[in-house]
Amino acid sequence: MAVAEPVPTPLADYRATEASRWCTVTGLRVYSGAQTLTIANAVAAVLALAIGGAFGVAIGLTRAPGMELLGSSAFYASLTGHGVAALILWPIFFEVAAMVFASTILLNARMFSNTLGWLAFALMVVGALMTLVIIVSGDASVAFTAYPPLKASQIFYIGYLVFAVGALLAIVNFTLSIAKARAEGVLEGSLPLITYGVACAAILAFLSIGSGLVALLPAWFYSAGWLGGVDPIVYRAWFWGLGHTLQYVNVVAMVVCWYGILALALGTGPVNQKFTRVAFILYLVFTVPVLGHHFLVDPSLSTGVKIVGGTMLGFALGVPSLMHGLAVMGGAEAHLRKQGATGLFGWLKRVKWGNPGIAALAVSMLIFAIGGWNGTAETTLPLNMVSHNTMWVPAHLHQVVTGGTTVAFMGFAYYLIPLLVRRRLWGFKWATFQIYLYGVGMFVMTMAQSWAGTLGVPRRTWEIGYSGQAPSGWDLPMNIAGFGAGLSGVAGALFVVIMVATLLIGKRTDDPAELAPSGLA
Amino acid sequence: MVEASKRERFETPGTLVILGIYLAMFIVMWFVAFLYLATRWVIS
Repeated sequence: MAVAEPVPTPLADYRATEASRWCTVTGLRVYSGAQTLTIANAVAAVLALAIGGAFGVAIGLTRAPGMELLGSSAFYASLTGHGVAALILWPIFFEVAAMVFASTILLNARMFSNTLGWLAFALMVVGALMTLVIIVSGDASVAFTAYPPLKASQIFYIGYLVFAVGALLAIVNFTLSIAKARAEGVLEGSLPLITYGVACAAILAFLSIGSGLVALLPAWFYSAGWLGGVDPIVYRAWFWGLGHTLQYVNVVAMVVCWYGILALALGTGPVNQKFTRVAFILYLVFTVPVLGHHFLVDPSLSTGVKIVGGTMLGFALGVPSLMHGLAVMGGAEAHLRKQGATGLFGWLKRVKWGNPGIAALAVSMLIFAIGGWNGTAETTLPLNMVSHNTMWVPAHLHQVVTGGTTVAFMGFAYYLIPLLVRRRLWGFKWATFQIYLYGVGMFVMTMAQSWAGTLGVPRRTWEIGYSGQAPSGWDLPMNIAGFGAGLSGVAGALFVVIMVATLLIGKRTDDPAELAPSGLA
Repeated sequence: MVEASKRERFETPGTLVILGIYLAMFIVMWFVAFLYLATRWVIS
């Protein structure tokens, strides 16, 4: 990417009250407050991923009949910890990092309030620690869904709520930072594409967290004994307003990472920005009603509502993802053709497959696409009748959230962190290997889980032997899934090592070629 | 002008082919899932 010259602005004197620098790769102005807070959220995200990943590997190796690593109590505590750390904490910390980055650095602007930003971060860390500590202590083995009448320690709900309030404050700071950039004249015209995408993610996150507060407050009161009971059907509807919508916060953030990698590794963007912005808006339109696909076997909704809300709109929700897939691949192809690529697929030979960003883009898009197949089958009412609560569900979830979102976050982190800390990525080749290994592990695990799902193996269950009554065919796919989980665990640990090493011992540099290695062959 | 606009329209043929293959496999697998269900129902 070309290095832009620092451009003095009319407000330079006013804004010079906070230390800043010019990024040698992007030419953007980086204020120290925004930079430090982005790094802090990214570090918290990586730690959450490490914790969630460790729980996940333990679950995978327990569900493998050949190993059965954990006892039942430790298994259900790990299941809860895995859901909370890997599905809530890791993505939201990373998305808050993206929010700070997109509303300040990308706009050449300062944060609205550094104090508010740090207050949000502190609440998120405190809430996360409360929740994780009580899970590890064994007083909250209710899975991350915490359906009543299951009851966890009060600290579990309070931790969840404190984390949610922190995340809401981060969204408020994000919104006001954009407004401030506009008011100060730093931001003119439309938002940059990445900021636009993050803004869509923030809107979904606001709806999601608000819905979670409505679900979890009564659950806390019930846990404390202040309420005699919580209607499970009402709780489930509000909870999935959190759980389902949050997954589309992840999907939107994943797409933002795809565009980020496209810009930093290949120096290009989508062919048509309007097309991509419409696709982002479609996520806002379709996401909330599709939470109905979590209730396809519930007695509480009519078949008509299930078919329209769960199935038909569920299909529609695949459209924006297809549009973004077209925009990202098309952007790369058009750019590479301008540089001389010929033939139908000659452009694929012009990218450096040994670049971790390119590897992450390819692996993320491929596994997310497979998850689209799986998800469409599950959101189809008749197919859901036989796949509901089988291993099909974790297969789909891991394909889109882990294979898709987490890999995209990892690939983007390999560019974002070096740019922020001005250090070269430590272990460049290891980073590429890590992405491919993680992808292979996730592919093996989720395909075996899908296979197990077609055989009827239940999810979320510690023991599937049923005293020798279970079909013998259940063991093989679950053992293979455990093997895949182990491979991904090794690759996940390698990601943490590379990130920590980059932060601590990465070579200090301002050379654009070292900070953002080109993905062009 | 006409030739130029035609060239622009087809600047991403490889991407369109890849997405076409994906969608075709998607539809085939969706129907295969129904066939699988029907077979299981008949067998049971």
